[in-house]
Amino acid sequence: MLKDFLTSQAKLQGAHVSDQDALAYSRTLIEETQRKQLA
Amino acid sequence: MATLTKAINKNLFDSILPSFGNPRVHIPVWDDSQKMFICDEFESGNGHRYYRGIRFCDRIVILEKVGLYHNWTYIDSIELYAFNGQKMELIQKRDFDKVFRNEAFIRQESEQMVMDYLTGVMKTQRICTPAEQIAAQASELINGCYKSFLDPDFNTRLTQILPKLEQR
Repeated sequence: MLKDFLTSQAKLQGAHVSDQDALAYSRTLIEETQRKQLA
Repeated sequence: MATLTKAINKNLFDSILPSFGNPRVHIPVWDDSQKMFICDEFESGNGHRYYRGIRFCDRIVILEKVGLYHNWTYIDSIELYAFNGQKMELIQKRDFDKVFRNEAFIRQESEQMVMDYLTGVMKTQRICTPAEQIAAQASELINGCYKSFLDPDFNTRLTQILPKLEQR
């Protein structure tokens, strides 16, 4: 869901981002969220 | 170069998802799960939340009004628009009273509304068209509306209509 959101927002702005970059950024955010849940 | 691209993308992503306390750039939001753009989310005085959902193809626009109440999601109305030049004209509207939102139901109602519109126009013009042909036409239009914005061949030019629909 996060990756789809980022990809679509970038597309609406006419920016080209690779699938890999969007996925990496999404993963970082999800991992951060999980770390905070455990803290 | 790869590092530079990564840094640019990080800035872009940070502007799309700003940290707490910072404003987000006003860009329409595509929700791939519901296959529609979400806009105008607001909270009423008594704490109920509402939002609008927009999906379209190059012929029609479907506007959903959705209400969120506790754990439930209600479909409040479905509006169907046709293009007249660059303007949009309301051609069908259905209101619902305390009906839970269900993806298959919305699709079925939308398709029926397109069929009703086409049947009505044909009848007004005294043109006899087989029901199957109208149903096939309606199905094709609805399929077009459910195309994902993330697909490479999505007609992005159509997103121009979003600001016009946000205040409806």
